[in-house]
Formats: sequence, C-alpha cells, structure tokens
Amino acid sequence: MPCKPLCIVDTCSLIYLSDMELARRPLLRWLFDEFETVYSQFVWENEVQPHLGKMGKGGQILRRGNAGVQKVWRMPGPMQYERALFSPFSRVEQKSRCSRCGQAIMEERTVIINLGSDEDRGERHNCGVALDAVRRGNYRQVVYLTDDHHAIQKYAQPVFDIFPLGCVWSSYDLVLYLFVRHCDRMIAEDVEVVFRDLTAKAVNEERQQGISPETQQIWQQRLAAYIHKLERVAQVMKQLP
Amino acid sequence: MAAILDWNYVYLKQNPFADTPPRRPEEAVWAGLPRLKKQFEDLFVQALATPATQVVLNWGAWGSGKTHAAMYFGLKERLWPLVQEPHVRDVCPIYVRTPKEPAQADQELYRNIIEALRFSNLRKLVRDLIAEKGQEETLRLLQDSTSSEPLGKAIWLLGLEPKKRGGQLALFDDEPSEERNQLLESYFFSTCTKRDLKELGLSRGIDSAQDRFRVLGTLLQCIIGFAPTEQVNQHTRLVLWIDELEDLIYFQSRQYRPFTQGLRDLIDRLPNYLTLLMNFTLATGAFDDATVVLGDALTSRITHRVYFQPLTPEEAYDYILELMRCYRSEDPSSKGLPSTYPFTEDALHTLVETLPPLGRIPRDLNKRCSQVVSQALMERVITAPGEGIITPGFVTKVVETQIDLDLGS
Repeated sequence: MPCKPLCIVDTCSLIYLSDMELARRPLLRWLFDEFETVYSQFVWENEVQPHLGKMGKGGQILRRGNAGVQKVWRMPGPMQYERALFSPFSRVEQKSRCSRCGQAIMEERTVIINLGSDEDRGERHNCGVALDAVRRGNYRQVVYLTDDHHAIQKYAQPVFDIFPLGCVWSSYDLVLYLFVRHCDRMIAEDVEVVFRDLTAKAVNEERQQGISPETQQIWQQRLAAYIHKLERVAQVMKQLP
Repeated sequence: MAAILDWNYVYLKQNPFADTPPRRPEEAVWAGLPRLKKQFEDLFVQALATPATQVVLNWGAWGSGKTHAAMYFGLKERLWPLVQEPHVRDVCPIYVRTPKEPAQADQELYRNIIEALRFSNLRKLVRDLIAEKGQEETLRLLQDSTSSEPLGKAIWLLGLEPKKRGGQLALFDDEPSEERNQLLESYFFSTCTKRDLKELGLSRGIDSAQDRFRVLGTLLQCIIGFAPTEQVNQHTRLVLWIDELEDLIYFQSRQYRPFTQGLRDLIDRLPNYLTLLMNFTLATGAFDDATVVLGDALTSRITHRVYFQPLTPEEAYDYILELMRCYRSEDPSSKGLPSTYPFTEDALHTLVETLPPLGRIPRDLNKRCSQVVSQALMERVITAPGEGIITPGFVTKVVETQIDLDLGS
C-alpha cells in the first residue's frame, strides 16, 4: 500500500501552480512530495506536454528525468471508462433564476455528451483515473485537483456525487492543506499571498476570454471564503501543543 | 421606427432609464434614494466645513449607483449649497478608475491623477506658493513634503518662470517656455533621459512606486494648501473618487502590495482636507468580502462606509417616479393623466414587484422600465402624446416574455 495519497490533477491547476512558491518552495514540488500525483494519458499528451514551455519552473520540474511522463496513470481501456461514466449521464444544472426572489432554479437533466469530441476529454479521462485507482484497490480515496470550475460542474462533481471516490479540491484547498500539514514552516501571510496570486492568475486568464461581472464576483467570494478559512485554521493551529 | 420610439409620446424628453452611468457630472440627475443622498450630503458637509480626512468605502451590487454617485457629486456646484461659512476656499473633485493593467498599476493611477489635475493648474499652484512664501521657503517646504531633495525640487521647478538671463534656470535662456514645460512634464511621467535630468538640474528621476506616491502626495498637498490646519477657509478640499476597486482582484501580490500600501501612504501623507471615496462592487452585501480584497492597509484607514443597498418596493416606486419627473417634457397631470404616466399607478407597482429583492437596484429598474416603455411604444399601446397607457397586464406580459427569452424557450 503506497503511503502517499493519490492526487489526480488537471492541466489548469498544474498551470496555475507552476510559477508559484510557498515558503520559498515551488508549489508543484510541495504537491509532488505530498501526493502521488497523476493524470490521464490524454491529459499528458494533449494538454500538459504541449504547454511545458509555458509552465516556467513547473515545466522544468516536469521535464527533469521525464517526471512528467512518469505521472501518467496507466489504465486499461480509458475510452471504455469514459463511455461507461458519461453515456448516459445526468447532472444538476441551473435552469433559470426566480424572477421574484432571485434564487437559482436547479434541475437534474440528462445530457448527451459528444464522446467523439476531444473537448473536455481530459476532465472525463481524469474522472476515469479516479474510478480506476479506487476500483483496482491501489488507493482507497483520491483527491481530484482542479481549478476549472466549469469542468467541476460539468463532470467531476456529478461523478464524485455518485461515486464515493474521495473529494474534489481546488488549488486553494491544496494550499490550505499544506498550511495545516506544515504550519511550522510557513506563516498565514505566505498562504494569503498564494491565495491572492492564484485568484489573480485565474481571473486574468478568464478576462482574456471576457469575464462577466458575475464570474468576477464568484472569484471575489472564493478568495474571501478561503481567507476566512485560513484565519480559522491559523487560529486553531496556534492553540495546538 | 424612429417616430414610434418617440419618448415625447410619454411626455419625456428622452429615455431616462439609462443602463450605464452618465459620462459627465453635468448630465447626472439624482432621483429618489433620499437616505443615500443624505449620507453623502452629510459627508460633504463635514468635508467642506472641517479639516478631517475622510476615507469612504462605497459598496454595493453592480448597477447600484456607485459610479452615478461619483458623477453626480463630482460637480462642485452641487456641493456648495450644502454648507454655510466658514468653509473651505474651494473643492477639487477628481474621478479615476482602478488601473486595468496590474503590472503598471501605480504608474497608471499616478498618471491618471496628474492628468486630471492638469499641469497648467499645477504650475499655477506652485507659482502662487512661490509668490506667497518665496523661492527658498517653497523649495524647503516641497522637499520636506516629498522627503526628497530632487523630487521636491522638481515640483518647485514647475512654479518657476523661465528667465531670460542668468539665475537659476540659465539653461532655459532664450528657449521657448513651452519646451521647458514639456521637459518637466516628461520628468513627471518618467519619460525623460539622463541628459534631460542634467538639463533640469535634477540628480534622479521618479523611479519607484514609492516615489510616485510621494510626488502625488505633495502635488495634492499643493492643491490643499500649506496654511495652518485649523484655517479651514485657507484650504481646498480634495475629493478623490477611485472607482472599480473590486478590480484589485486582478492584482498579483507583488502588484497589489505596492499599490495598496502606496494608497495608504497617500492617505497618511494627507491627514487633512482629503476625501477619498473608494467604490467597490460587491454582489453579496457581505462587507467582509470587500475588506478581504482591499486588504488591511486600506481597510484600516476607512472612516465611513456607504452601502448602496437594494431598494424597498416603495423606494423603487419613488425612484422611477422622480427619475421621470427629471426628464418630463410636460407634466402629465396637466393633461389629466397620472403622475406615473405612461404607467398607471398599479402598473408601476406591478413593475417594481416583478423584480427580485436583490434586483431592485437602479440599473435593473432602469432596464425593466426601458423594456416595458419601449415595448409599449413599439406595440402602439401608446399611439400619440398622452394617448394610451401601460396597464399591470401589459407589464406582466412584457416581463414574462422577457423571462421566456432569457430561458431560451
């Protein structure tokens, strides 16, 4: 039984984490030391490998000693996993907003996913990796790390809602986890800096495609929520022997 | 189509229900929202009659009227009637947006404020200061204020007239004044060369974010004045609005810290006669979220908070009524029509109630009113001035059609 937990990471998070440091250490280094980090072959070949040059220090880490290719999760029949998980497939989606109270109206819908298209295939295959890792008995639980919130809503959350495979984390969760694990090596202010940088990176990325005020608000709330969590964690950690 | 969408048919000079804020203060009207208006008026009464620096956080949802308020109160003529003597000698309103390029945020803010102030005004201010205190004393004052000899001297140079022969600015002998002004302006925008620095007699340029905020602080102090603090009528109140501060979320820590700390230093450098109003869009109404994005440096300096809260149904009704009143071409009552025309009173109540509580903000109210009245004009519910009226049924029909369109059904 491997001693490190398994973390299935998507390209978006790898890119966000690639140029950041926490306590003078690259965040990717933290991630790789704490977790058995993997992704699907599709993610490696089509998303990570082509972008290594743009990933700064993270790219260097993944290139060194073929570290990147070694993180590919080898599984039998990834397309079969994809078909089994996503055809048929249903998820909860926002139908509209109530014109009286402004609340979102949600409903579960059966959606037809074009499995012939490569769009979002990385996310789907990573869900297959999560299922395979638990099913074949190597890992009892996994962490699915992604900062692509559309992908979370579309694929990861609906899958994890049904299959109790572990949890879906954002990079904020990872950083907060590192603070819990290594609070003797870092201070809360360092963590706050990373939260801000992660947020800036994400919103600037979205801004290039035209960010809506609503999306900007979601990021604002996310940053605030994690800074509040950080305050609470720091408060508790201080009291521990 | 042009004839059909004639707002004169509903006794309005133009569509009063704008979905964006006015571009110029002169175009802004204030309708309804008496509590909010009073909050600002109280703030400005204090600003014009006392020395205390105010740091105000204006927060509310997108479209709740923050930029509109900045425009409306950006006109001095609207502030003077609020106070009686003694009051400050002048008010200097400046409106800027949060820089959109985080990498040059401090430079952009600095440049926008300097450009809003105008060099011609700055030159006159320093000239007046020199005339009042003399060259030596002014130079010392400016160097003390910037905590820097070269930066203080550069500001001092703004107020010196080029001399024809000899003296301090011999370099500029026989050169046109305009050329010298341009050289100095390029110094303030950090675009001058080493040779230019030598020509100006300055040992260094404006190199860092800290330098820029120091120069800005002193230039703003020149506007405020250097008289003893208690002499209110010897000072100018500087009213600086910074809009869209929620965009600080785009700043990485290395950009965010110098910017927010620079602003904090600016506040600290101007402990009197500054009113800094920071507009911050926040959908949730959770004030804590705003303070997280602003950070401790700025949050700790806030002296007043103004919440642009969603309107109650009654406030929303009054807002629409008063907004139409500001744009009336004729009083509908004189034609035997209700003051709510082109709506019946019930129709206006219905319209307000079709919006969810959090949507009862000026932008959404404007949008809905504009949709309903435009549709009434297009569908010839109103066929000529004063002919036809919008009923609750018509409002419901337009709103339901819009909801269907939004759902894509």
